[in-house]
Amino acid sequence: MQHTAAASGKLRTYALAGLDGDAGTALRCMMDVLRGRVSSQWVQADASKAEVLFMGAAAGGAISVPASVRQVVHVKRSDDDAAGFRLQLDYPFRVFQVLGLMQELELDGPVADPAAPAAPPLSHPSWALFDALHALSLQSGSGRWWKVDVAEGESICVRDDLREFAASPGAIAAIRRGDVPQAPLEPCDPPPASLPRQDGFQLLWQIGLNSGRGQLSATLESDTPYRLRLWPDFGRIRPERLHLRMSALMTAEARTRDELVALVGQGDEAGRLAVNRYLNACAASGLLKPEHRPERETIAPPRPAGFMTGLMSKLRGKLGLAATDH
Amino acid sequence: MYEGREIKIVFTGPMGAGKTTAIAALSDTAPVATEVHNADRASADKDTTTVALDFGQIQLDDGLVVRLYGTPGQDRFNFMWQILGTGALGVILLLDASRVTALTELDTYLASFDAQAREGRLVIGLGRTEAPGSLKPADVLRRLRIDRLALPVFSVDVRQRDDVLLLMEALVNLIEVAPTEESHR
Repeated sequence: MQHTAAASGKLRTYALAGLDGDAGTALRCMMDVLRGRVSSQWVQADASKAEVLFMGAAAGGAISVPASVRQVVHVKRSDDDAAGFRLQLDYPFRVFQVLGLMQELELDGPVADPAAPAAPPLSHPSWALFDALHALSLQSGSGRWWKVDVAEGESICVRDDLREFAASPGAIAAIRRGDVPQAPLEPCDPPPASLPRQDGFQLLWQIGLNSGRGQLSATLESDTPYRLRLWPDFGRIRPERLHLRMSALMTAEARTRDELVALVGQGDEAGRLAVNRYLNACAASGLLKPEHRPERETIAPPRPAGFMTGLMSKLRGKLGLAATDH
Repeated sequence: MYEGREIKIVFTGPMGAGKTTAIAALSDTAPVATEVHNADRASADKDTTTVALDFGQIQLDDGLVVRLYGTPGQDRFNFMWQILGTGALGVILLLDASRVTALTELDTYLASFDAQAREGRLVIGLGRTEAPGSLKPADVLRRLRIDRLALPVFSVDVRQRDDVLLLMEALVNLIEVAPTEESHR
């Protein structure tokens, strides 16, 4: 985070989901304007770690609320006749409206209000296991096991610290085919020794890749730049060329989803879904770090074809490695 | 040469990690090696070891040459590491995961090639990860996390050319996007 510690109040976190690009930018701007004028120090965080979620209509009601979120603020357009919520912001924003809301949030504290409207609808069932694993990742593990049935006689057991899982070969094959279970996790006994224990990363990666039919997870935002805090464990999963390329790009700089799509030359729908899948897999595996990009700063365009770019292209050609788009 | 500098990629790592083999898998010409009888069988059980450097090259279409250097594996020649590392486009660090000292060696080589590691132009290949009790890529990734380094780690068998190409592909991807003097102009 780039925020300064000018405000001395308690550090509290918020995240944005389902907001159009302009609304998201405007809200971040407003939060900057309000710094020092509200008692807490509000910083934007990954949705998986935020206490307050500003949820817009662009999500189409398909937002999954992470377990860390204690308060949901509904953001709607001023000309929208949608029913009012107790915690609501109308866009375009007015600074005193945002100020009033933030003060209300601070008075409420981080405790869910029973008078608040019902929780937003859960996401599509194909996210069920992704969301359940995500919720487990936010807790400290106690060594208990959870289970989900994949098909008749095939199930996956995962330890709650996500470091290990056990599954029949059929269950793993089903997930690799994209048949992600749509049922919640249930507590279970430790799996029998006949099911070999495997590193949890492999499960998290596959669930990330194959959940949600290639849509971007609600734990991620398409206009937030992310950097890799760690490379995927390519000792355990087979690296794909596109994954190597995107991993390198997010090592050098934080990138948004759309920047990645453009930089790896995957502008068609299939390419966009492939980028989403990779990002979901990284998110499920805890590899992404969101970064705040100061307003007006735009990402540098792909480097013009200079000597080094040409050299690497020739080296690729010589070694028979696939070319990249620049 | 480009802009007065050599175009080079450095292969480094302890004795017996496979540097000579990896260079041989890529080089257009028979690699030049400075091998001598290995008097340190405790560190690596092999007949010979590199005392000065390995050298190979990849000739590109327009006469450009990418030079591949392998550093000597024995600690007493570590003054060569810095000489070879200076100005290198990227570094491939090969480790023998079955050695109990593998994590310590990782730290040593990362410190020696700190510039390339911090700039994200370093790739790590772990050999012999299937051996019982060996270091796994996840162990190396955890160590890298402590050092706040995001670098790729692969399980490899450098006797397989495809595995060496995988390391090169990851490195080429990193070099293409890493900040360079050229990109700041």
